[in-house]
Amino acid sequence: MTDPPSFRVAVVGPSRVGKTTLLTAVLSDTDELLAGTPVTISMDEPTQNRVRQQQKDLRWALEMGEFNAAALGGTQEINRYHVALHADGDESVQIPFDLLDYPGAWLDPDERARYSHAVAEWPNYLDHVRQSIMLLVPIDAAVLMEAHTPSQRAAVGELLGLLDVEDVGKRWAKGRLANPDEPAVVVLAPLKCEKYFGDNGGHGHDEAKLRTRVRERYGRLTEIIARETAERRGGVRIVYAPIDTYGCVELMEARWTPVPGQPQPEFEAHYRFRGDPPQIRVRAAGTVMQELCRSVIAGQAEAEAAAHRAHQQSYDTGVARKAEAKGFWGTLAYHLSGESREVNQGIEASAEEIARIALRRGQLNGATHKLASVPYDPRVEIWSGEDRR
Amino acid sequence: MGGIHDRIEEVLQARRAALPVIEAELARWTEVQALLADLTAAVEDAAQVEDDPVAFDVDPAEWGRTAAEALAALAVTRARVGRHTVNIGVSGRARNGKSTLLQSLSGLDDEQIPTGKGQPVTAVRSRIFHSDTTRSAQLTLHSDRSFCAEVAAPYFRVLGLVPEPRTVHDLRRFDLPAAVAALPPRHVEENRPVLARLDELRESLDTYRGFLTGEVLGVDVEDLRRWVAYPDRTAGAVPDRRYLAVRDAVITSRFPVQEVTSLGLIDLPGLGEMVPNAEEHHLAGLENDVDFVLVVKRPADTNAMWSKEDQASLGLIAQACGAASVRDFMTILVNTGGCDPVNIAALTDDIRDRLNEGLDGRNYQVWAADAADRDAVADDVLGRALAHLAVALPRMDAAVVEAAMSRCEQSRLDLLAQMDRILATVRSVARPTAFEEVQTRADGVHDELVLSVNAWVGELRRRTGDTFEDVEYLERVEQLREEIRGWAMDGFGAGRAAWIERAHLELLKPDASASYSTKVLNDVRNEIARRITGIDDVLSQRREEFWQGLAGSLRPRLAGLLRGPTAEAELTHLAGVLRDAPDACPHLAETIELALDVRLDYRTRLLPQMRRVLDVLRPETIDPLTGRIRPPLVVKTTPEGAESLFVQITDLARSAIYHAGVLLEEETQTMASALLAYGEQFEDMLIRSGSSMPELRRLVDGFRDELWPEERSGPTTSTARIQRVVGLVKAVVGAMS
Repeated sequence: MTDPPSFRVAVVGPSRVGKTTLLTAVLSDTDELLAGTPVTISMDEPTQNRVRQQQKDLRWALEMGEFNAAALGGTQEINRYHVALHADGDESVQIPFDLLDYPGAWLDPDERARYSHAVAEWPNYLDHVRQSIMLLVPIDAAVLMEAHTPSQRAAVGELLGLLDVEDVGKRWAKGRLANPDEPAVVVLAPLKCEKYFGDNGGHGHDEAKLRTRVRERYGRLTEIIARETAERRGGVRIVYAPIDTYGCVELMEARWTPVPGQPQPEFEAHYRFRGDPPQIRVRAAGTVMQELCRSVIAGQAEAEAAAHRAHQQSYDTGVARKAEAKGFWGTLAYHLSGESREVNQGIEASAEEIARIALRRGQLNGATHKLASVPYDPRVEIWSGEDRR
Repeated sequence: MGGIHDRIEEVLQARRAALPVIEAELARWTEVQALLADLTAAVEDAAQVEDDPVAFDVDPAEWGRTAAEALAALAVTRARVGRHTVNIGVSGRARNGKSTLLQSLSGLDDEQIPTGKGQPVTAVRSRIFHSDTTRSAQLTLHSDRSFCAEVAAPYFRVLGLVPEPRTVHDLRRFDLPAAVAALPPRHVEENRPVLARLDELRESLDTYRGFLTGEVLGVDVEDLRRWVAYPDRTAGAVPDRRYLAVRDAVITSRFPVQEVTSLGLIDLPGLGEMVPNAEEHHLAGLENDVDFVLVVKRPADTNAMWSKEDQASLGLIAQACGAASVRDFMTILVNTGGCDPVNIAALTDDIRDRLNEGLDGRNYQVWAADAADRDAVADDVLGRALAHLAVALPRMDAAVVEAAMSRCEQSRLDLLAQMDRILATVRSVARPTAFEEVQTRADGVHDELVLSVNAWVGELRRRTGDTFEDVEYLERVEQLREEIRGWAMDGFGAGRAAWIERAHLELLKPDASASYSTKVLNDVRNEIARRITGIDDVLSQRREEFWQGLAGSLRPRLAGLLRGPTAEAELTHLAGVLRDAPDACPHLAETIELALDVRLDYRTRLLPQMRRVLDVLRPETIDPLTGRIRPPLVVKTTPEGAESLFVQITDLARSAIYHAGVLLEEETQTMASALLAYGEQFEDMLIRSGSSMPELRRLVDGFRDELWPEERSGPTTSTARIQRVVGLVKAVVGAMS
């Protein structure tokens, strides 16, 4: 049986930047935002396993009072995260999201050719990128901020994988241009920002410097996207969301170690817990989910008429539809118009059942609207697109 | 005599009126002489420029002689018009009764003016002045050196002995027998009497060397003889020759002729004495000390005719009287005392025939008196001399002054003519004016400085660029950071295990942790602050490099003014030179001093920020979320608690050390920017300030030799040297106008 369609998100960033940690933080923050609603955020099993492992490691570190960032993740493999907002009591009424993290190093054809798995997945990845409504760019804030000497600064681009990011960004932008009516959001997400802000238990006052450095380093990415999508109606929304993935750790020291035979030094950051006892206080991670919800809602209005028509489809049409490749609109219609449930159960569904499903769907819609309408973390800035601030 | 007294006083007063004129002229010619010496050197310099010599058709040696003659005439005249007494000199060959005459004239006796038979007895010539109230003797003694130069050395010169002694010690050590043995025997024979005198000098050294003090010694008039007379020869004893220590003797006493108070008697050195340079001394005495000379001649049986030696002394007198008439200036006094009238008549006849062309008094006055007859001397010699001087002295004074002024005028005209010739030569070789040349040179220096200073500032600017990496400095920072970090991780120097063990013990004592963690945090904070100052060595080095760069940019032209072992010392010296120069350059000095004021030390630049970095190690901090004070680190008083404390404190220390290092790393940029700012300010003040050009002109003018040491030849040097000649010519002309 074919998987139901989902809203796609392309993640691009160097390994070890903390993508799993970011996802954990996104889930945690979203969970808080959904408090008091009959809606829950859920994961598929592999995602759940990764997040659980990450949480376990963090808890252990908290217990020990010693934080080792390197121990908390970082693998050179394709990671696909499945998360969904679903109505409590009915797993099938959901808004699923599919986040695909393809290792940046494998964007290089020569490097990719060394791994058969990478070669096999490459077309799928390109397809995923083209269909993604969001390009999520996790950024290692420490690399940006702790480069103080010219040689350290010269190494930043390589360490952040900027060329790879720009390459993927260009592909994504072309996909967005090909689907001009679909949402298009870029989230620039500096991670582990605890040291640079004074609003979450730290003494930092470097938020302006961080913003400037992100603008400098990712200016070319935004230019590429702007150029590729110049003809697109509504442009591309660029969101700057500096995230505290832990809130209770702070950069203690950074070490730039020369590597024999390599022009670039190696970067290693060491963190320590802060607060007594240290308490996890995620900041701005929910922005990712909020932006996704906002995209869905924006598309929903436009798809309303189509959703209504879909409700009248016959069984045969439903079976055929399920087999179709679903784009954003298809996914929207499939999950938010009730088509999904009918497709899955329409053959035997009764009129009462359809009414119950409609109720759940209403609740999910409400929660989605709530998520989208909660004020953003004050750190978050919209650099382009609607609601720019 | 009363009338004569008044007239003599009037004459003395009148001659002193000329003194200011003569002194002014003396000062003028002294200045001219000094300028001529400089001019001589300048003219020689101009002629010695290798590639572009300028020859002046003049004879500098002649200028010197011209000025010296004018000065000599003025000096004699000044001595004359400056005198407060009428001085009568007594001259004549030995054994003619000079001392007897002086005794009669002055009323003194053998004790002061020794007389004797046979050998001459007067060793020191005295100057005797009349005083109604005082009777004294003042002896001016030789110093060690003046004795050697004026008394001993002339004997060496006559004998041809070297080296001449410069001290009495030299004289004593001199091996005279050996030196004499090396002389030609004939020369020795001819100078045997002089050699005998030198022997005496050395033989009696111990009897007078104690008096070679250079002081003025008052001596009892009644005890004067042993100071001024040759000693009697006593067998076996070393003769007391203290007279050798006497440079000058002045006796003040009451003369028998009381009406004339302003009267002096000068005992002139005897001609024919076995003393080196007797003639020069005699002439000097005649020129400088006397207004009138009595030439004493006693016609003894063997001395009744006017001899060749007598005539030689008249020649000296004629030379000394200068513009005055010899007839006014001297009289021959025939000392008749104890002489056969036949001899007297013979001498008188001889003088008439040979000196006065057969007519008494035609060229020389001739008086006669018994020198030992005091009354006769008073009337026939002194009274007569004073009466003569009352009339002749104004005439002689006028002639001497006029002659001196005339000599000066002639010298002036000669020199002006020479100066004209120099200027004519200068006009024939076209050279820029001094101002033009200074202007051109200052413009050139300015252009050079624009380029070199700009290059230096450009290098400073390059070091502020984003891509410039001060590798050495950053390596020092990293080294410092690693050292301190290593110290912290190693149990703050005690070893991790030992630290934890110690901490456990300290925690157990109060059974609480806050006070100990507070103490440790304070200690660690202070130690890191202390260790981090190690960066000062590189900061100092950067400052010295800044000065080296600056000195380097100035060196192409100002090397001659940059003196010192370090760049800082060189610049400090330059600033001092600029400030203290006769034509000071205060703006340029201030410009250098600004660059010297660069401060890059740790305390000035980094301490304030470093304190904030170290705040992480404060025991109590403010929680930014709650605003409450965070307590010090608290742990269990167990070994695990001690270990936890170690981990927490090392974490904080590592954070502080890391961020201190970041601060130091960022300082490279700040430091480079600060140095650039100083460099730009220096460049602005030196190159673009309105005060720069005028002061560069002064610098160029005042330190030409230092700025262009390479210019030993060529047109530029020639120009400079010609300008110096012209300047001196103008000064000479100005002084003579």
